[in-house]
Amino acid sequence: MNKKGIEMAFSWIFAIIAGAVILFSAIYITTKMIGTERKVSDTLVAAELDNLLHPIETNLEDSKYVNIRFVDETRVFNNCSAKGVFGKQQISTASKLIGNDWGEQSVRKTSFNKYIFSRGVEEGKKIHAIVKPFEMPFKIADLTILYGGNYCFVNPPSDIEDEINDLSGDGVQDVGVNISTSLSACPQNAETVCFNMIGCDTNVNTLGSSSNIQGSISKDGETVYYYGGSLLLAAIFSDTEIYECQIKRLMSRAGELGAVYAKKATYLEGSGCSNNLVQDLQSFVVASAINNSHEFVQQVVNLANDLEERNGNIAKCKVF
Amino acid sequence: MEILQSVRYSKGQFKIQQMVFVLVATMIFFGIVAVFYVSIRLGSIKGDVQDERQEAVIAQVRKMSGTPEFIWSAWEDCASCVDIDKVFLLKNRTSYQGFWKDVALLKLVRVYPRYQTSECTTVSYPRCNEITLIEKPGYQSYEAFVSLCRYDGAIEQSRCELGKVVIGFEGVEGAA
Repeated sequence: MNKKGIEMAFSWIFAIIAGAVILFSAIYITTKMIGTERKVSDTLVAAELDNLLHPIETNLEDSKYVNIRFVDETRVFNNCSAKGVFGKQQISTASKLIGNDWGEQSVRKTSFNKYIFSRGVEEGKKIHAIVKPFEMPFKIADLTILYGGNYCFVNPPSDIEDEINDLSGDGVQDVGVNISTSLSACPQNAETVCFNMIGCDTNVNTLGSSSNIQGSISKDGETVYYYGGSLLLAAIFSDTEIYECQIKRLMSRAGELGAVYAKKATYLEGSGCSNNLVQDLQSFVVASAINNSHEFVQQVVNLANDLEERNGNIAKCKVF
Repeated sequence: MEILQSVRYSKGQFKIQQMVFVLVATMIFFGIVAVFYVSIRLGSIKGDVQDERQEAVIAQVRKMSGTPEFIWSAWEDCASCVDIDKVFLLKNRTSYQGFWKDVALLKLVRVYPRYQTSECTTVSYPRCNEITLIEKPGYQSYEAFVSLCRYDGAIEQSRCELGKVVIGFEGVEGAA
């Protein structure tokens, strides 16, 4: 029996097993670390995207447009929750890995005062953002409309056409929206949006014009309701679920602001300025507790218009 | 002596022991390297979070006068006018607690004219200098000058005074 041979074989087996364990542990740890690094980087992208949306909020402007470019192909996840006083807005990102795989979704960046209207997942290296103020009857928030890809608007009302032309600087900048007079003239890869006709991916019904434009939008077998140009664009570019959730959140904030304005109206009455708006503002607060966009159009719009008119008639001390 | 003599190690056992020591030493070395890497990375992440919060606050302080809770909407052409009545009425609203995320300090300060009372209360308002909505310890603050506007019953018209919005963000512990 060759004792030397047996001793060599044992040490080799031991070394191979120990080596394999170390090697596999190292590979496993490295893979996990790369994944974590990617998640950290995507979380910072989500936070930066959230910060980027701050400076583009409006002050006196009617609307703003920005083009957001990512380093890698990126997915932006939009989550909306109506729970709590103001509900919450959460965004997260994931970037494309080598090949066709996507990295893990980053940690969500939460905010209570942002309202992002988009599909659940927007994808691309370039994302368009339109920011529009929402007033009902006082300023409630800025609506951020995010969209990737191309859209084709078929026969839009002149106000919408003018707005798209203004945002694009009369065609100098690509805002991702083509205006067309017929469905057949739309680019093949574009999401189609028909105004007052059917046959597109999204079909819009409009009544009235300018700031009083209202109606309904049908897509994916579901219908949502809007009032005003800001909500019209928001409804076109977002999933129905996200749109309904954001409308509910907006109305919660409107209710809170309405309560503050009711107190202000009372305070102004005490300062010798009669406005007779306290009761109406209190009714507005009650009406703003809505569950969907249909209730919003039915319950809130008329009250808001009345309030706007009555506040406009106050000469010296407007409440809002 | 008898006991010591009875404990004998074969050459193979000695080699295994030697290898185990080498393996343990290797693992300890990698462990130390990993701890070193994690502490450096963690420090850098804290720095990134600090930068991100700072960026958010700087962006917010510039735009605060345009937010619905602060905006003076009686005049349509004043972007930096703040409705001081509205902000004062917001002060004790519990629903707004936590609304401005990651903000450790949020207050309005009157720059001119100054009054004797510092913090505004229901008794001292409007002859007071500060309205503090949020104040948590350990913040780094930024300011922006604004006009503080309200309706003044004594002169029967609106009046605006010089003030500033101060916003602070919470620092991250251990961040550079």
